[in-house]
Amino acid sequence: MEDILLSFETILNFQTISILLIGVVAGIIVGSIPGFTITMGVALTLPFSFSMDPINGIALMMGVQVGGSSGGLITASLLGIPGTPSAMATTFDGYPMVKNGEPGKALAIGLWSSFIGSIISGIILIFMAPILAEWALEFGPWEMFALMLFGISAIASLSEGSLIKGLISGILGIMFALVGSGPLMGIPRFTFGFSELLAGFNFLPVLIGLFAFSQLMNDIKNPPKPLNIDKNTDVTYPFVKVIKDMWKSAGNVIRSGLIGTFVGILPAAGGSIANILSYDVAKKFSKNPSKFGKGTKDGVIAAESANNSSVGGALVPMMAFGIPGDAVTAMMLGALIIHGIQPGPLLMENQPILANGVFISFFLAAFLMLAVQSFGIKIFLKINKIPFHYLVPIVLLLCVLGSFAVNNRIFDVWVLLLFGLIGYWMKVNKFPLPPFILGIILGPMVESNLRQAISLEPNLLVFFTRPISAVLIILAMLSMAYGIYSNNKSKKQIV
Amino acid sequence: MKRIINIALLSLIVIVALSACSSDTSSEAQGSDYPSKSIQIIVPWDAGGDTDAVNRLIAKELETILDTEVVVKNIAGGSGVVGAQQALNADNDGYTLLSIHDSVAMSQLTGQSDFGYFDFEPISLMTSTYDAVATHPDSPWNSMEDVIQYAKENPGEISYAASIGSTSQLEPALIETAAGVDFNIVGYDGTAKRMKAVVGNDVDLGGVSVLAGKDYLEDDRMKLLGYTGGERSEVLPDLPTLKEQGIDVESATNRGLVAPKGTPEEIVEKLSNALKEVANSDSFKTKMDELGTDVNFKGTEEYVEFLEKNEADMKESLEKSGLLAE
Repeated sequence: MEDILLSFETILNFQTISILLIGVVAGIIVGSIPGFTITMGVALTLPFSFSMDPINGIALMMGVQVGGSSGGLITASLLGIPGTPSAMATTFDGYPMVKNGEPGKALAIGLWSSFIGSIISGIILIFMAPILAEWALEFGPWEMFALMLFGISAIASLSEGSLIKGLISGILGIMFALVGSGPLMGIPRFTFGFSELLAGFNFLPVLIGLFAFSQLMNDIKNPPKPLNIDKNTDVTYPFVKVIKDMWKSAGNVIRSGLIGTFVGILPAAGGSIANILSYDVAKKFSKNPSKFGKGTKDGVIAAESANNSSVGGALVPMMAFGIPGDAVTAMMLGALIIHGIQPGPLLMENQPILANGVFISFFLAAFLMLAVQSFGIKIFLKINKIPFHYLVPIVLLLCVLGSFAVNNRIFDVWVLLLFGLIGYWMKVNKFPLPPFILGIILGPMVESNLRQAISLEPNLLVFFTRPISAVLIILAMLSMAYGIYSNNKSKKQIV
Repeated sequence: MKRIINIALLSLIVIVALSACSSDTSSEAQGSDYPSKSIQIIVPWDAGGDTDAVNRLIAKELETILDTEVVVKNIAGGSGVVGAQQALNADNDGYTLLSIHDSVAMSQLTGQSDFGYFDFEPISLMTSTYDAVATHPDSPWNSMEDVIQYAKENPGEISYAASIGSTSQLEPALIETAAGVDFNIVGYDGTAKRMKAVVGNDVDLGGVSVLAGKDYLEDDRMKLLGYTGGERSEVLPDLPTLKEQGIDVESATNRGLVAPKGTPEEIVEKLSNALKEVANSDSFKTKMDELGTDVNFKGTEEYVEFLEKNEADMKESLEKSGLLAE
C-alpha cells in the first residue's frame, strides 16, 4: 500500500504528467499518419528517455503507445486507410460509416471503445498479471500454432463474396511472407541473391501499399463524393448517444476488450492480430452479421476496443517475467536496461514503485488520450474539407516517407509501390484484401510454431493431447465451417 | 490568397520530406578536421535489444569526446546482414560506422552472406558478454556434467534453444563438438521467444544473460548449469564455468565497431582513441556492469588479431558440427 502511495507521488507531478501528455499527443499524431507506426514513434522517444528518470522515460513511451493505438482510428474512419497496422479492421466499418454521413459517430464510438478497451486491459493487468502470465507460459509452440490456425480460419468469414478469391488472396499473403531468411534456421528463401530481400518484405510498406496506396488510386479514379459537413449540423455525435450506443453493445465491448488483452499477452501477437480477430469474432456473434462491412457500430467497437486493450495485455508478460509482449514493450525493457534496471521475474518485487508507476501511467495515458481526442475530434473532421487534389499527394508522400523510415532504406519504398499495384489490381478484380493481410502476418507464425513443435516432439498427436491446443484446433474448425456456411448463405441471399 | 498559402504549405512539406531522404555526399573528409558533421552508427538489430543498448551508450559518450552528434540508426533483418550490407556500401569517410558482433563471421561461414569481418576496417573491440546455460527447475539435471552424461546415453534427445545468427546458435554447436554429444537444436526467432521457451519448459536448455538468469534463478523459474566465460562471473560467483565442468568451451558475444573498407587511417585511429576513452570512462564501465557485460577494449591492431583468431575458431567448430557452408 505504501508503495502504491509512493508511486502516485512519483507519477502525479507536473513533469511526469506533462511528459505523458506529450507522449499521448505525439502518439495520436504518429498513429493517425498512414505510414508511421506506433513502434516508430516509440523508437524516436528512446534517445530522450535515456536522459530522464526511468519512470518518466516509460511514461513517455506509454503515452505514445496508448495515444497511437487510438490515433489509427482517425485516418481509418475518415480516409479508409489504417493509420497504423493495428487499425486495419477499423477501416472495415469505420469508413463505410463515414461514407454514410456519420463521421462524428464513427470517431466518437471508436474513441470510447479505445478508452474502455484500455481500461479493461488495465484492470486485468493490475489484478491478474501474475496469474495470466503464468497461464500464458502454458502456451508452447503447439498452442501457439493452434491459435494462429484459429486466426487464419477468419479468412473464411472475411472473404466477402467469393470464398475462392478469399483463399487465393490468403495464400498469396502467405507466399509473400515466405520471402527472406527462414524464421528458424535463417536459410534464405526466394531472395534470388538480393541481400535486401533477406529481411523479407517488411510488413509496414506491404500494408500501406495494399490499403493506402490502392485506396488512393481508387479514389483518383472514382473520386468520393465530398461530405457536405457544413450543411450537416450534426457532425459531432452527442455524448449521451455515445453512452447509449456503447451500453447497448456492452457485451461486444467487454468481449473485444478481453480478446485484445489476451492476444496482447501472447508473445509476438500484438495489436494488428487482436484488431482483426475480435472484429471477426464480433461478426460471428452478431445477430446481424450481414451489416458488418457496411458501417455498423459494432464493427468499430470490436476493432477499436481490441487494439487498445492489447496494449495492456502486452504489459502483462513484461511486468511478470521481463519478457516483452511486442516490439514496444521490448523497447520499454531496453530503456529500463539502459537505466540499469534488470527486467525479470523480480521486477515487481525489486522495483515496486516503478512497477506501480507503470500501471498508473497506463491508466493516466488512457484518460489523457480520451481528453485529447475528444477535444480534437472537431479538428480531425476538417480533414474532409481539404480538397482531394491536395489530400492525396500529401498522404502518398507520408506513405513513402514512412516506408523509408521503417528501416532507413529506399528498397522499402519500392516494396510499397509494388504492393500498391498488387492491391489496386486485387481491388479492381474484387479479391478481398483482409485475407492477404492475415496470410502475411500469420503465415510465418504458423510456420515457425509448427516447426518448433515438430522438432521438439515429432508425434503430431501432441496437438490433440494438449488440452488448450485441442480446444483451439476445434474452435478453428468450427470457425472455418461457420465462415463457409454464412458465406454461402449471404451468396444465396444476393442471388 | 488561400491558394498561395496552400501551395506554400505543400512545398514546405515536400522540402522537409526530401531533405530527410537526402544523404550528404559532399564529403571532404580529412583526418585533421574530422569530425565536422554528425556520425552515424548503423546497428543492424532492432531498437531495444542488448546490442542496441550498448551502442546507444557508446554513442552518448562519443558525442562528448568527439564534440559532434552521434546517431544510432537501426537497420534490422536477416540476422544483421541487411544493415551490414548498407555499411558495406556506405561512403568510407568515417561518418558511417557499423556495430558488429560475432554474427558477421557466423553469417559468412554459414553461407548467409558473402562478406566477413575483413570486408570492413576494424576500429575497436568494446565489450564481451558471456551467457549462462539454463534449464527449467523441473528438469533432472543439476550441472552440465549431468547433461553431458544424459546426452551421451540419449543422443539427439536434449533440445537446445538457439536464436539463429546470435551466439546462442554457436554455443550448442561448440558444446556438441567439445563434449562429443548431439543436441536437438531448435531455432527461436529472437531472445524474447527463446527465454519464454526455457521459462515455459518447452525446451530443455537455452542460453540466458547472467543478469536475467540471476533473477530467474532467485524466483525459482530456472536452474543455471554453466557459465560460458573463461572465469566465473562476478554476478553469479557460485555458477561454475563450462571449463570447470570438463567442457572446453568459452563463448561470448564480442561487440565492436568497424568502418567501411578504405576509411582513412587517421580517422580510424582517431575513432579508436576516442573509443578507448569511452571504454575507460567510469560512467560507461558502471553502465556495462549494470548490463552484465564486460568492458573488453582492444585497439585496432589487437582487434584485427582478435577477429582473425575468432573467425578461425568459429570456422573450426562450425565445421565439426556440420554447419559450415560448402
